Amino acid sequence: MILEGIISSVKLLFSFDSYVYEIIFLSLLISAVSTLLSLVVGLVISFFLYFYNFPLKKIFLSLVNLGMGVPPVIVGLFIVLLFWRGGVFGDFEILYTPYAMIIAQFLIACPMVIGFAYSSFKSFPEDYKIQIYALGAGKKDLISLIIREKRVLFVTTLMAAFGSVISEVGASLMVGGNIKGYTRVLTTSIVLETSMGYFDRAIALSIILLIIAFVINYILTHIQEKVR
Amino acid sequence: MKYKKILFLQLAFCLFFNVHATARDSLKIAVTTSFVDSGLADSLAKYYYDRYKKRLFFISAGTSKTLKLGEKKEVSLVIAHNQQLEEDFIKNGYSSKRVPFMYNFFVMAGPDDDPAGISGLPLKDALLKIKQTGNKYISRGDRSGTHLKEMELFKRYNIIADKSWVLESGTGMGQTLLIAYQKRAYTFADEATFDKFKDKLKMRIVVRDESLKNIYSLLVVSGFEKETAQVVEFFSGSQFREFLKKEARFFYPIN
Repeated sequence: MILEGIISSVKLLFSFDSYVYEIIFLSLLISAVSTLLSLVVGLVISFFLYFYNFPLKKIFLSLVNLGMGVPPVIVGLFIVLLFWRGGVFGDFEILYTPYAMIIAQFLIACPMVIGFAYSSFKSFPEDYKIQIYALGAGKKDLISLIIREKRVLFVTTLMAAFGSVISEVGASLMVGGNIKGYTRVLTTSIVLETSMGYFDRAIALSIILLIIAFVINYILTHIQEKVR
Repeated sequence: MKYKKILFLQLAFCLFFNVHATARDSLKIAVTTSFVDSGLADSLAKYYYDRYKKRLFFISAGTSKTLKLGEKKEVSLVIAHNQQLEEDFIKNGYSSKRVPFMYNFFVMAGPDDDPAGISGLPLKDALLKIKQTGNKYISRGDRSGTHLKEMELFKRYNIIADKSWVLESGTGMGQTLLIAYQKRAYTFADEATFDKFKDKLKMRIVVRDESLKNIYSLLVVSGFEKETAQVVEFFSGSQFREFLKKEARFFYPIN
């Protein structure tokens, strides 16, 4: 049965079925947007954390660490409750739209970015920092220097975050609703195809997801090797 | 470290025997999502266990998948609600017995304020008017019995379900209702599931047509005749009638 599935999935891949390509496109788009958003916001927050001390900072940091381990379904539930019609942000009416999915994936990816980035800043040697300041450089120069120094780590973080959101299914299904051509992405359609008993199509979509994950990993390894 | 390992082994042991024990006096039944989402599955399992000390495990899936589970002999009984598929299933030798045992009604549900103004119209006119007034309609799109019925009706009425007004949710009955509510859209549902979700939604039934009967059948998967005999008897007899009367609204017995 698996072999049959693989054969028909290869056929499906090369049949240029617009349905399949729509799903791939939506998957990549939604996850890319949410990853980039979380990169920008996460970096800003971690710079802030690095340069400034404020009360409850330790609590905030442990919340970030907790955030890295929160199961996506809980994020999904949180978003559903927040954007439910009659809920706090219900008037926006974005539940069951790609926007809700982007927000959910952002919440999943952002703690990852903050965690990685903050610890990489921390690992930047303290005496370097003093030297740089002594040479008359400002915070801006320091930031750009750290980013240049740690660029590999940022790419790694970016890829890891992207990999985790594109392969996430619980929250996507809860807040997106798996609407065809709108919020139906790779993972949710694999769930649907399996629930309909179309195993060949489920396998085809899984292979695509695996290929995406493999490409991400390949790029990651490639960059890491090159730097070393 | 060592005692941790022992603890783990013990745990695994317990789990194994527990699962093993339940497997012996239990029965797996593949059912449609409406069966579970309406709450019927849970109350039926409890009712049955109290009387026969046998556990019924309901596996929830769309009608197409439930039949597939039967085909692969993953379950010993299948509950479906699409006559054509069921007859094909028997024709292909996967089942030896089909017992239609209960029915309910398909209804069209929509927002409380009925923006399309279709309350009480015949189904065909209602569908056309949803499209004309620029409202949205949510289809299950998962080849479940409800979805198949809906497609059959669209075909019969010559209505084209295009992207401009029909969204395919690709989820079960329950979540489809929630999506319809959130998007102020109309959807096709079975009355029992709708009733279960009624309190959570600001929605009401806008079209209810007594000809839209939704008939559930029990299919015995070939090779499981012996162990399922008691359950089949339960479903086709007076006890099931009593159960429905006591525990379920909007489901009506056939036998």
